[in-house]
Amino acid sequence: MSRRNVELLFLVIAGAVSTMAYVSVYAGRFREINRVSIIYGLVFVGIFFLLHLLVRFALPQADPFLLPITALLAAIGLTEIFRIRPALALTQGQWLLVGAGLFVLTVLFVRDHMKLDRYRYIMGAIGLALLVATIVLGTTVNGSKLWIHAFGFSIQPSEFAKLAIVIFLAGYLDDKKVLLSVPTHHVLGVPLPAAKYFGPLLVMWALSLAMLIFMKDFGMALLFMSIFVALMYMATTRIVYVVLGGGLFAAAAAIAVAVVPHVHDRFTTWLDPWPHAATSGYQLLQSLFTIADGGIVGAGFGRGFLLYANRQPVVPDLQTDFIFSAVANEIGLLGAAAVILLFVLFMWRGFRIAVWAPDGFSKLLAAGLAFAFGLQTFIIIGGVTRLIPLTGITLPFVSYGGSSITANLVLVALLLMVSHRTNVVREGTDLERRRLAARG
Amino acid sequence: MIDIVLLVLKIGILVLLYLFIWQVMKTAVATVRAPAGAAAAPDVALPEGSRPVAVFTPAEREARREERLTERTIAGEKLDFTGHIDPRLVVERSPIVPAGVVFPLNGWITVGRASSSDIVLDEHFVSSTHARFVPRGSFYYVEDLGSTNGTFVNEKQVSGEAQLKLDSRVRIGETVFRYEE
Repeated sequence: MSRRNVELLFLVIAGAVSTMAYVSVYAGRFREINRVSIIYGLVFVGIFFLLHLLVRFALPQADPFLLPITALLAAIGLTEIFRIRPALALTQGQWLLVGAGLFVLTVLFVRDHMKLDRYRYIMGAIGLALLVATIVLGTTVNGSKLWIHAFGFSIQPSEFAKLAIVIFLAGYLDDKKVLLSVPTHHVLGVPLPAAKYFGPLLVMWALSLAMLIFMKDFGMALLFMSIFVALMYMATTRIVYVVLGGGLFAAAAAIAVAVVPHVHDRFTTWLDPWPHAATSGYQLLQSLFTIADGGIVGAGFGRGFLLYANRQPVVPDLQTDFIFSAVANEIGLLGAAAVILLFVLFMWRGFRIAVWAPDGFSKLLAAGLAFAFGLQTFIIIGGVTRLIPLTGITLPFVSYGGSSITANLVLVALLLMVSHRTNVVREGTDLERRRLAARG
Repeated sequence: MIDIVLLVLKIGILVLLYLFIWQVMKTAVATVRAPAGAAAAPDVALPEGSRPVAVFTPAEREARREERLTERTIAGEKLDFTGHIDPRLVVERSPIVPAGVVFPLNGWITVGRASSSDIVLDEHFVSSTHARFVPRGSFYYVEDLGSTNGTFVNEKQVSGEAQLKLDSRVRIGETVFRYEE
C-alpha cells in the first residue's frame, strides 16, 4: 500500500473517532443524536481530507502517520473545547482552518525545506524579533507576559518563534558543527569553541534568560533553552554542552524562584499545594481531583464532571493549560494514556525522519522540531499532573489557542517536507528526484 | 436508549484510539525494515559504492559554490597572484590519491573528508573540514581548521596558519603534498 493510502486509512479511523466523540458530547448535552452533530464531525474530517489531498499532490512520499496523529489530537482537543465552552469551539474551529491554510501555504510556497537553509539568518532574526516584540509589547496574562494584542487578535508569538529558531539553529549548527566541536580555549576548565562561532548561540541563550526574567514565563524559557541545548548536543555530540546548559538553567531557575514572586508561587505550590488550597494551589489541586475523578475508563465524552451547575469549568483555564485534565476526566486513565501515546508516536515519527534524513540540516531540523514538540507536551502534561512545576504552555493541537494550533500545523508541514525529501532521495523514482531538484 | 448509545460511543472511542495506535505501530515497524539500504545516512562522505544518491543536482551544487565564493570575497581577502606564476599542490604520497596528481591552487581551497571540500581526502585521519589554502599578499598560507589530527608543514604542526614556500611539504592525514609555484 502506498504511503498516501496508508495515510488515508488512518485518517478514516481518526475521522471516525472525531465524529463519535462529537456525537457523544452532543448527545450528552441535548440527550439526542441529530444530523447536525454528525455533519459537524464530518466537516472536521473534511479539513484534514483536504490537507491529505494536498500532501498527496505535493509531498507524495512524506511520512503517512503524522497527519492522522495530528487529526486525532486536534479532534480530541476540539471536542473537549466544545464540551467545556461551545462558543470557543467555533473560534478554535476557525483557527484550525487558518492553521490548515498556513499549512497549505507552507507546503506550496516552501515546497522543499532546503530552501529555508538559505534564509537561516533571516529566520533567526524573525525568531529574535518575535521574542523581543513580546517582551516589549506584550501584555501580562496570569502573571506571564506571553501575548501581543493586535488587530483584535491576541497572538502568542513564542509559538512561531519556536519554529523560526529551530530552523535557524539547524542551519547554523549544521554549518558550524565542526568548528563548534573543537575547543580553542578553556574557561574554568570547561572547553569552549572559538567565540566567533559560539557568539550567536550565546545571544540565543541570553535571550531565553531574558524571557525568564522579563516574561516571567518559566515554561517557554525552559523550552527555548532546551531546544538550544539539544540541538547543540545533536550537532556536536559534546555532552559538555548538555551539562553546561542544564547547570546554567538550574542556576537561573534557582535565582528566578528566589527573586520573582510569580515563579516562587508556582514552585512552592508544586512542592506542596495543600497549604495553598484556597489560593495559588487551587487550580493545581482541582486539576488533580479532575484527573482522579476520571478513573480507569472515565464517563465518556460529554459526561464527565467538568462544569459546575453555573457552567463554570471546575478548573480555571480548563480549555487551555488544563485540557489534559479534562481529557483524563472524560476518557479516564486508558484514554489519557492513549493521548500520551499519540504524542509519543508523533515524536517517534519526528526522530525517525531525522535519523533517515540525508543531510545535516534536515536531520537537525526534524530532530529539533520533534524535540520541541515533545518537550512542550512534557512540560504541560508534567505540569498539570504535578510531576514538574506548573507553567502555562499549550498542549500542541489539543489546547484552545490559535497561535498554538497554527504554528504546530506548520511544524507538521515542515516535518512532512523533510520526510518527503528523505524518501525521494533514498528510494524515489528518477522523475520524483528531478522534480525535487527543480524545487530547490 | 441514549445512555446505551453513549456507553457504546465511550467504549468505541477507546477501542478505536488503541486500534489506531496499534495499527500505526504495526505499519510503521513493518516499513522500518523495508526501505532498501536504509542504513542511517552518514554526515560525512562515504567511500565510493555505498554513497547515497546526490542530494543536490549539479546546478544546485554550482549555486552553492558561487554562494561560498561571494562569502569569501566579502571576508575581505584580496586575491593577488602577481608574484605567483602557477601555485599548485603536487601529491607526493597518499593512500588514496595517486602520486603526481596536481591540484592547481586558485583562490581559497578547502581540504577535508566532507564531499563539499575542494580537495576531498576520504581517509581516516582527515577531519571533515580539515584545512584550507589561502592566498594572502603574494603568498599562499595553509590554515588548520581545528582538525583532530593536525596539519603539518615540513613535519612541523601548524598552529593557526603557516606560510608556504617553494617545495614545502604539507601533510594532511597520510597524504603529503608538495607546494610548487
